[in-house]
Amino acid sequence: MTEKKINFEDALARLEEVVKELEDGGLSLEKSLELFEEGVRLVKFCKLELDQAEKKIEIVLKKDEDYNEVEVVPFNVEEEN
Amino acid sequence: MEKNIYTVSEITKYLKDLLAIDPLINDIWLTGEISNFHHHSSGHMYFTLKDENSAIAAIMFKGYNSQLKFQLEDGLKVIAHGYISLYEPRGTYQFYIDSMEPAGKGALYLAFEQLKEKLEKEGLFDQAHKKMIPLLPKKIGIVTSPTGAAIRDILSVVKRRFPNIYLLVVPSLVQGETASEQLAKGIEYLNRRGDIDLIILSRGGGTIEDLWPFNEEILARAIYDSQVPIISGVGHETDFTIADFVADLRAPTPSAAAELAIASRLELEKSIASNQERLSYAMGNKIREYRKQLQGLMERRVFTRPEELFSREMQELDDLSRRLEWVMEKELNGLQEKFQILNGKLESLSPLKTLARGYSISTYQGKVIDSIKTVEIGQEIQILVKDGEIKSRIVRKKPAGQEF
Repeated sequence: MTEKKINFEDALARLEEVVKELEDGGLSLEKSLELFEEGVRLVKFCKLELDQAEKKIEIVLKKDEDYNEVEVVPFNVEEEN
Repeated sequence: MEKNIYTVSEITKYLKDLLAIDPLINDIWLTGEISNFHHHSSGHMYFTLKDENSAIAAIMFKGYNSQLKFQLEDGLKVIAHGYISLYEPRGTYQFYIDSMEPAGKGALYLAFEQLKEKLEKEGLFDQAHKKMIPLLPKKIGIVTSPTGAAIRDILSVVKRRFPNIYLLVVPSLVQGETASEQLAKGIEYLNRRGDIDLIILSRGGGTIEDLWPFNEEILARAIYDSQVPIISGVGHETDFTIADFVADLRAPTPSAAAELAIASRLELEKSIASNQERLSYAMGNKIREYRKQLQGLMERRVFTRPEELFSREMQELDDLSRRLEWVMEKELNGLQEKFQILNGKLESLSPLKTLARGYSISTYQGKVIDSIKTVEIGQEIQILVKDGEIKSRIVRKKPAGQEF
């Protein structure tokens, strides 16, 4: 798996946390603003992630049983049937 | 009478032949319970089949027992097919088994139960080992038949729920002898790639025999060893395979697997939007709260009656100004007094005062006549006395010391 700094669900989970913390109140104005800014950043990130996903369907053609050599080509299910 | 004497071998051979021509015991199904089970290092299996009253020695050669899907063990009730023959070296008859099924339930069913129990004991189904399914997988690997119903179902779900996604199909046989190994290798390959964050292992519905590759140990281990989370979607809702138990998430069908793999884009958008809304609202609340607090403070006396803050200073100022006034007045009074005195003095020097004492002042054309030279005879002059003026004419004049 590719290691990213923060993934979508972490961002969404953190966003929930930030919102809860803000909702619970009892914070200084400075801290509130800090959380708010973080929340806004997370919302932006999540939206970006949603839109960034790539649309592609491919199929692996293996040249040997152990996948030592493969070719990845576009896959069209309609053609296969 | 001549006696016919046979050797042991002769009679044994005779008996064996006798058994061999019997139609019943050469093609027979026998049911009984396994005991004294022994799997010899040669690969052959030796045991006894018995019921309440009788027992029969049984043998299942390697070539046959390798076909067994389930494990033989003591106490297992089975239905076995084969023939009965005589084992000459020992003079005993035995049951030569070529196929066997568990009594009551099917062989595959039993095999399934046995493998399930074994893997469960090993911890392959442990909940703690299961990996989280990513909410928004970027690349999904699908190990399945590229021509089956499963892949079509999966693709149609993906299209509907979240078209922006990368899918990589790893084609594999999904039934038959080599299928489980192929499926396992497909999973291993997807792990090696390093860019896949979710795997769907799938095939459409079928008989228990069709689904059998998904009950094989080799596939179970590959699923367990996978670093990438795996969702299984095999057969129909009622079908449970070993793969389902090992997988990080079991979906009842291929479509359901796709649905579980891909959270609805709409739902994700909704969740983000709701969080965004709550975020703004919470922050708005915070600001309103502060505003209210500020308002409360503004209503305090210091702000509504700020003069109170300075009342002491104002009093002091008043005092000072009062003192100033007093000092000024005093000063003024002094000045006035002085003025009065001076004025009095001045007045006493005034010619009017002289008039009051009985003197008069003569003027000609406004000029005081203080010398005979200032007037000429016949000129009209004015004489100022204490109670009025007199107009008179110069008749004569003489310097002092002369007589008229």
